[in-house]
Amino acid sequence: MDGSIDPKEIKEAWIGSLKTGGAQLGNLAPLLIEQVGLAGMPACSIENACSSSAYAFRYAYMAIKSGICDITLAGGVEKMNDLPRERNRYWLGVSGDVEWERLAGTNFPGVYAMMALRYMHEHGMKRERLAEVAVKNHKNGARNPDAQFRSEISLERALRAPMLAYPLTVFDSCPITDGAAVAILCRGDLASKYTDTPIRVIGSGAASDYLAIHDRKDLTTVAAAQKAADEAYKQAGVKPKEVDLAEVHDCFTIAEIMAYENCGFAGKGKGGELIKNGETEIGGKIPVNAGGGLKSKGHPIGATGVSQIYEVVKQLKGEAREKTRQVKGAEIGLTHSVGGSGGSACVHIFRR
Amino acid sequence: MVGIIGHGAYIPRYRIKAEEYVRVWGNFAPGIEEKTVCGYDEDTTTMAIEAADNAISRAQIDPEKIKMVYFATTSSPYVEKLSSSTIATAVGAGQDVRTADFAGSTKSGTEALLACFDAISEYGLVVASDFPVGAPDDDNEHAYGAGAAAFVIGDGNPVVTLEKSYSVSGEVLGERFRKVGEIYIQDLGLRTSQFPIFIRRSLKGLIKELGEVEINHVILQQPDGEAFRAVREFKFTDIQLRGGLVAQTGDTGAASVLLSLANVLDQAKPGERILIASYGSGAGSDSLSLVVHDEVEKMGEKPTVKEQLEEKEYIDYVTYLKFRKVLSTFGGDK
Amino acid sequence: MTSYVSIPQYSNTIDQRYRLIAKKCKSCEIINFPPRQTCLECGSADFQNVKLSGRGRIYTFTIIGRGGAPTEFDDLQNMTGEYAVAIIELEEGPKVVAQLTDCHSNPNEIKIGMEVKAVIRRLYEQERIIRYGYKFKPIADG
Repeated sequence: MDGSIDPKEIKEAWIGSLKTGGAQLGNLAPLLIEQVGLAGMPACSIENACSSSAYAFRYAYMAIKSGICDITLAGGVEKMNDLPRERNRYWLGVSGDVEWERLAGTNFPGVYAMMALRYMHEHGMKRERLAEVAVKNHKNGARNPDAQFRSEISLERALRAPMLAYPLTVFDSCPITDGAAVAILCRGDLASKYTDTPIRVIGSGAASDYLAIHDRKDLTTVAAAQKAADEAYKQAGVKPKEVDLAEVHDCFTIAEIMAYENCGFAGKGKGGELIKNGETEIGGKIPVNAGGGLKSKGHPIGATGVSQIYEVVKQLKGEAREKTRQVKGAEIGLTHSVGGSGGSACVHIFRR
Repeated sequence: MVGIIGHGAYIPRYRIKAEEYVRVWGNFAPGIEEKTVCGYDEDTTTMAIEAADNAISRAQIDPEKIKMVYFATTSSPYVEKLSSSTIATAVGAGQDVRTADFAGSTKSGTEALLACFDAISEYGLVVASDFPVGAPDDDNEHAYGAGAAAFVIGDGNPVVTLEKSYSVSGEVLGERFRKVGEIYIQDLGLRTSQFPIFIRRSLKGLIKELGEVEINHVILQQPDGEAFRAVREFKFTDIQLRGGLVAQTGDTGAASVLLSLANVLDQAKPGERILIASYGSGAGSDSLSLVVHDEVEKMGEKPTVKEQLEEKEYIDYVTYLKFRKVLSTFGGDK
Repeated sequence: MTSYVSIPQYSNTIDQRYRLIAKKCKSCEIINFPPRQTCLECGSADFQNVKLSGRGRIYTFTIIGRGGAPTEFDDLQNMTGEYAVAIIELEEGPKVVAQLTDCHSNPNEIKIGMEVKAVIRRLYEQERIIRYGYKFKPIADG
């Protein structure tokens, strides 16, 4: 908990969740709100697959910007570990194009694998670059007490792991995770009342794209993320090179490579060089996923978007306590969230 | 002149060798070297669609002009629900079409062919497709193989015309039957098999009506490699009988004689005469004589039966059981 | 527990699944497959039906590892092991996601650019109804 606030001051809440397992498909947000003693407050569930709570945050932000609310809450939650394998696979495959993509027998690992193979084919990138993303994110996750996997892995181990969907191995993939995250937003001029170190939202961009990957012209990019990032940068008035750290949606390692490009940290087809040269390590030119990313911190679908914001806020406050994880002097941070294979995306930029 | 204006065949990719059965069970059906096997995602309907597409391309007609689709099998994916309508839809036959499924007997292929000849209007499509289903621990199962053949019948310049046919019937008990609700073909293995008797009766009837004519090809129902024994008295030569496929496909049930007919048409010469004798237990036999015309040399290029037989991949017995869904507790359904 | 494309929804796409009937845009002449409400290229909603040849090339592919299939394909995967899924670039232009069949699910035997053709196969079964549809198989010597 950062700062302190009387919960009754919060005017409205948005909760992101895919509601994996189906335990409470309808009216999830009102249930969660009344369980913490806030019955009566307007609350709404937001679903945009893996970017659900990034969108919850965006709407909480927009409600303040519109002048309707002074203080809002954005959260996300997902409980995935208590499902039988079959049910988990069912839920993991509900956010891509069902009619033509899923019924061709593919799912998210398969879709990202096809993007990865096409990326490698078009840009001549080697599989080692993907494995290096996994190695880096495990290294960072090992230093994050909130991470699901807190052990480092070797490049050899990542490369030799069993294939999940060629060319992606199990180490190219994020895990099944339980988790929840909450952020409380307030009007900028009121923030000092609640905290000494407010972190400002300076850009919020979002976009969608053709859901089915066969309808997309270019499979080596996530067009929705590119649009969302461009919009966020425009609002924030900052350039990619001014960003001090980013938490990006590395549901699969290829997604992080594409995120480098969509966030403007690398040119098109050059994402692999960034990881190869260590530039996205903590201490590098633009540290990415200092918290371990989805790969190591875990990917509780609906909670992931706000959990990325949690990490960036910690970093900008200088409170990533484990010294080796703190990006020193970070002032501007970015979060990049992608729903499914890129049907939706949401990018936020923050300043200390 | 009404006749067959295009033929097509489909043989699935997978094969299992006689030796593999011998390794597992110690024995195998006589006269069969290997048999054809459907992939996991195939059935008699998918094989029929592929054979029908080949026949329609050979006939070089607009599929929308097809007004009849007759389908024959002993192994329909549904016991009740028309497979012929699935096939008609898939080949683009349009909606104003008469469809019929001929089932319940290995002679349903010739039944469908004769029925189409009897009632033809504009173009008709006859497809026989089969992969009979036996219990894994029943010796009768060993021979069952997969394949499909299709024929477009119409009024025009036929490749083959039907000269005469002769059918016989009788009450035969205990041979190749399935009661309601049963999955597997049963056969009591009686020593008094009626197969040779019925085949001989219908062939004799046909030959008597034909009189003294030259016969170039003889196609018999082939439940195993020993069907030729039934017709010894006719003194057919190996050359006349060479169109038979059982050694390479196994017993393709309702598709047996029509798949052999497709094979014969792949290489037949104008003026040749083809005799066919089918058999269905329980029981009956249809004999047909067909005459080949000059158009046989002008047909569109499609994969021949021989070419498809050469395109193959051998599987082991466990893979075979998996492809047949015998090892699946779901039987494919989820 | 499975995902759900209802029988009526599936039935509405029989022309596509059995026969690859596409929608050709009357204004920009681009072929849309699977059909869309508005043209992928120009946004027009005025189409005419065209039948695709079913021939194309592999644009990209993957091999779905054991235990990774959507639940509709559990039995397929149990009985046949890993299977390949590809994006096929059809010769008329559109791209489509489909399973590969009659080939080894081995990355060394499947190549981007490889020629394939459509065949009708059983996709999966649900509610005891067989869902047929197109898959693609390599063209020999392609």
